[in-house]
Amino acid sequence: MLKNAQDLIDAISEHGPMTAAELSGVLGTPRSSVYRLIEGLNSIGLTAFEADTRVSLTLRWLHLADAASAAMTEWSFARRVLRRLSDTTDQTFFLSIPRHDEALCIDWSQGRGIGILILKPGATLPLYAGAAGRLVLAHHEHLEDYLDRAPFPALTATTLRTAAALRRDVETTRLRGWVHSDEDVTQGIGALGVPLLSKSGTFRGCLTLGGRATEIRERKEELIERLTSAATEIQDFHDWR
Amino acid sequence: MTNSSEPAGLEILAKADAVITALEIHGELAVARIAEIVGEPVSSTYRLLQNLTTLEWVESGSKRGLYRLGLAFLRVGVKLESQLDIRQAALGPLKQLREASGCTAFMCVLRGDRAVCIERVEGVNVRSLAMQLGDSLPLYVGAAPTAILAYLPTGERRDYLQRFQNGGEGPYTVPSIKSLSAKLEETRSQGYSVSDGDVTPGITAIGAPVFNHRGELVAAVSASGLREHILDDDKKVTAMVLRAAELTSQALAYKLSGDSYFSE
Repeated sequence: MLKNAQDLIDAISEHGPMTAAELSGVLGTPRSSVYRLIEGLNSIGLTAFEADTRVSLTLRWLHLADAASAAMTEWSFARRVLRRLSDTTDQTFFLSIPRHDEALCIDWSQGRGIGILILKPGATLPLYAGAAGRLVLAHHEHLEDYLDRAPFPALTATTLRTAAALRRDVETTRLRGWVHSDEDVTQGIGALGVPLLSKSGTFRGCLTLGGRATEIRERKEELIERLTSAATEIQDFHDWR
Repeated sequence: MTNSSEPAGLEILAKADAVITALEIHGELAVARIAEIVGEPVSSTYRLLQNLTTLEWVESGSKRGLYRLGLAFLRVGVKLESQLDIRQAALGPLKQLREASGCTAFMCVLRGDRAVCIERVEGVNVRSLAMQLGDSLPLYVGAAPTAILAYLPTGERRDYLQRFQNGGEGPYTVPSIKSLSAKLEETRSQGYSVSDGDVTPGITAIGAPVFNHRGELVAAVSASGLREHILDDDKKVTAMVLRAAELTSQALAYKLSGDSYFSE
């Protein structure tokens, strides 16, 4: 029942509000069962009928998303650092963690470029593109398994698509400890990022910033220094083993 | 999908709801405490938590033995967020604003360096020609543009203030950084912006910001009309604009902090 509920929710979150008939078609389930499921989800406030009888997700999801984010208390200190960084550098900073072969953004602190950046809390990046994605890839336990899926679809002309190119990138990232994503996700947009590591080198997450590609290029050294010192501060505070 | 017709199926949704509600309120909880709140034996609560963990509705907490809400809510939330139509969210409140005040009501969003009008409900008293649907203004004139500028993240706002000094657009004079900063400070401290004849002589407007569920700025609403009507002693129109902004924000899942629309 819970799995069926999740399938229905996924369908609506992917396609937007749907009628019971549409849901029945997409999920391959008799309409009567879909109605019962909707009844159950409506009764707990996760879905609701719109005026035109389509079923939509309720705003409760957003409140639960905020509560889920707030409950990740192990990142409270990093979040404070994130706020301070955007206040002092004017840039938009992101905190992301590895999840299911993706980099999942769990928080951001808005500075500049908010209307042009695609990453935001709850959004993900694939591991072959973007500063957060490529940092997760560089510390992936099953790197070769992931690279077996290459070549990956190009997001822009500079996206690293092949296993060989990504292997080189992983090596460079591990050596120098930072990533420069130069328009490989969105044209005109760049990002820089550093990993957050435990004492033993286990990857916990990453700290990245995004903005206009030209500015990121011009201020690269200064911004990497900021990111690196913030990452050190977070790692020292947590004393991850 | 499996057969979901059994009443037991709906019952499990109710139990799942009890768990996520408890975790939404308390943040992190141990199994025993969740079992107590849900009113179920620890063993069946544990099984339920395992099922919910598989779906990522729930995950292990920051310490062993604790559970908290899972990342499914973040993932679904961001998709729902992208589906929310802010014009639809604003239309009802803007119509109410027009009915109550007689003013023309607007909603603007930030596009590049300008505020673009994406919703307009025509007033009954004065038919202003400024800011038709799709029209835009620089962020340093007009009520809604100023409200947007005032509530932008600090870095973005600083950047705009600097860029404006490189030259203005069209008929509007760029204010000095000092005077514009003072106006934005005033807007933030009172919670609304006032445009007194800077777009159309004799026409005054009040603007207020609209926020999303994370408290981030997404738009601004405003009402414009004759100066004497807008700036009456009781600030009735101002209160109506703030109410429209609050209702629109709530339709985007913004949570009020205490009784006030503004947390600042």
